[in-house]
Amino acid sequence: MTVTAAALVDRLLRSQNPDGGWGYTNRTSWTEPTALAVLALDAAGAAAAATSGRAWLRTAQRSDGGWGPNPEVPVSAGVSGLAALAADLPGASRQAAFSWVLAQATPEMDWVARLRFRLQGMPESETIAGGYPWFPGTAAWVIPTSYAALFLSSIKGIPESQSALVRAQRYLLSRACEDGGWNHGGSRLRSPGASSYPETTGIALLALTGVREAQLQRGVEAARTHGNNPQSAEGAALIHMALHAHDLAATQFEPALPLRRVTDCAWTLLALCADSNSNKLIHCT
Amino acid sequence: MSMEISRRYFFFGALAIAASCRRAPRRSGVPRPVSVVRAGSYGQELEQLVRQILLEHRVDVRGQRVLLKPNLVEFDPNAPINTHPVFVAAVAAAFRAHGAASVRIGEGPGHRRTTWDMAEAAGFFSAIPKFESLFTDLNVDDVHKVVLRKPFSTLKELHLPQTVLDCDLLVSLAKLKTHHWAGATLSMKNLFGVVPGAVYGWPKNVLHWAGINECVADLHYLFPRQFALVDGIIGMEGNGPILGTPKHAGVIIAGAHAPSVDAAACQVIGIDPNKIGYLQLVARRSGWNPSDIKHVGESPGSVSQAFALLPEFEKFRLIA
Repeated sequence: MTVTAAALVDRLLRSQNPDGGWGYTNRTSWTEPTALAVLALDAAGAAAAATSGRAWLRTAQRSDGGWGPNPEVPVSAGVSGLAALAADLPGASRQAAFSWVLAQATPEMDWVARLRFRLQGMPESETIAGGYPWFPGTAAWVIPTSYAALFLSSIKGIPESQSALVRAQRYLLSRACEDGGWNHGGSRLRSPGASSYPETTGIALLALTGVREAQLQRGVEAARTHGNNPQSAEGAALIHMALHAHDLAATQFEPALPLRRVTDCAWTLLALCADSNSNKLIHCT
Repeated sequence: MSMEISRRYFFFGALAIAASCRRAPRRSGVPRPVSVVRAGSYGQELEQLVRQILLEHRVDVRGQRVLLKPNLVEFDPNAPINTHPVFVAAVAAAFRAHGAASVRIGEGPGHRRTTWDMAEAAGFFSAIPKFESLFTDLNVDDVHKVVLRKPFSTLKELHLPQTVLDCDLLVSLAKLKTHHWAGATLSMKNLFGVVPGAVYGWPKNVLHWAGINECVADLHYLFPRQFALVDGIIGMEGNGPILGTPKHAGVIIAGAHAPSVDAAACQVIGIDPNKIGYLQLVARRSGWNPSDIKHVGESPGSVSQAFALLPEFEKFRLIA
């Protein structure tokens, strides 16, 4: 039986915690599932139902402008881009979120560091900066960079956001796997033949919406291939949305894989609502 | 005459005393038992082999909560990447037979976020009865802050899954594999999977930045009650832990002291344990020495097969 958007809205609302947030496993509220649930409910036209979730996100924003993985972890982290996108923040809070996210971009290497990297046999792609880490001060990876890029692309009227977005997208392009898709963004120094994953290929392509690069054709082809075996509900949803964002999803999305977590429900609802102008993962530019 | 003899005796006596005062090698003195057991396949006999191991090591889990922590990395059920689900099922059954109040399974994969789907594709649902009710995705479990006392790494604290903190015995079920950054990935490195991705990301890069070897050692000291069983029936050589090739080693390596288990496992695959960074850290802190191992069953040398190593790890090769 095909799951419907209405059924998923109902399921999300029934799994919401009393504090307004959502957890990965229906217990403690965490930032990422809450942000995904809010985005999904918005996309499904159930914005009123997302109100308490949005309130949770606004309350959970830390004084430095970012969000921790959950309110218990006292460090702002790589889920902040997604939270900021979902929270629909008012002026000063939005500026604080933007400033925090912007500050996390991995800095450009100076020529000494670049030379040292190259002499160690690191490929040029390893020296590309502008990505975003999971944890402050560590290396950049595909998912937090994609979250940051989606948030940056939603910001209008701030030139720095556009230049940061371009750098983030350049980082993503540098981390594509040999098969054209994306995995977590790992170094290819000792894993040159590493394969891409459906879910990370999908999220990277969403963050690269609107980019005109010949390389993207290989990424889209990888996404089509993953579409034949997405391995998970999250992967299936992200691949469908990515192909839709690049004007290539020819068929209606029919979820077929088990929905085991709140995040599976949220991703799937977002994919079912790919056409909706309220779907910020596709229509944030 | 007697004066000359006594001066001579004094002189040579002094020399003898000085020689005996030369520093002897530092030894912890307590041999740690490690079982090395031949196991040719993932068959019915595994549970009995594991039960025998638990008996030999006098593992008492009556009334206790046991958490098995296998290595689950990729969807592929055929490549020797994951701890084999039949092996995990056998270990679970063995601990239940030994009177454990509960035997749960937990893992927090470092690369893929879709843990349940991966566990299903890797054969865990079909191999382990009632798997869905036994399994916790450690990446997204409720967490609790743990302060690190005297860490080797730059970390001061970790937020760890409640399921791990609540267990009475943590059982590391690693796969016998080489590793392209650490040299080998065995029982101790397997504990990276208890660090939750929902806090630290996919991958858990904060551990790499804080020092891989140092974090492996820190995690070891966080859990004083452990047991380790390494699935070396079919391991991985070459460019592990994912892109290497299968290597049939035909062994299970087990014990309550994970550094000793890892040292024996290194010997099985032909790596000098003294060259492994996290084992060096444990040795420096505790006085433990890879020689302080009491082999139960086979000796590592009798089952040893040289695993292929990446060129940069040939310097780790164990010289016979």
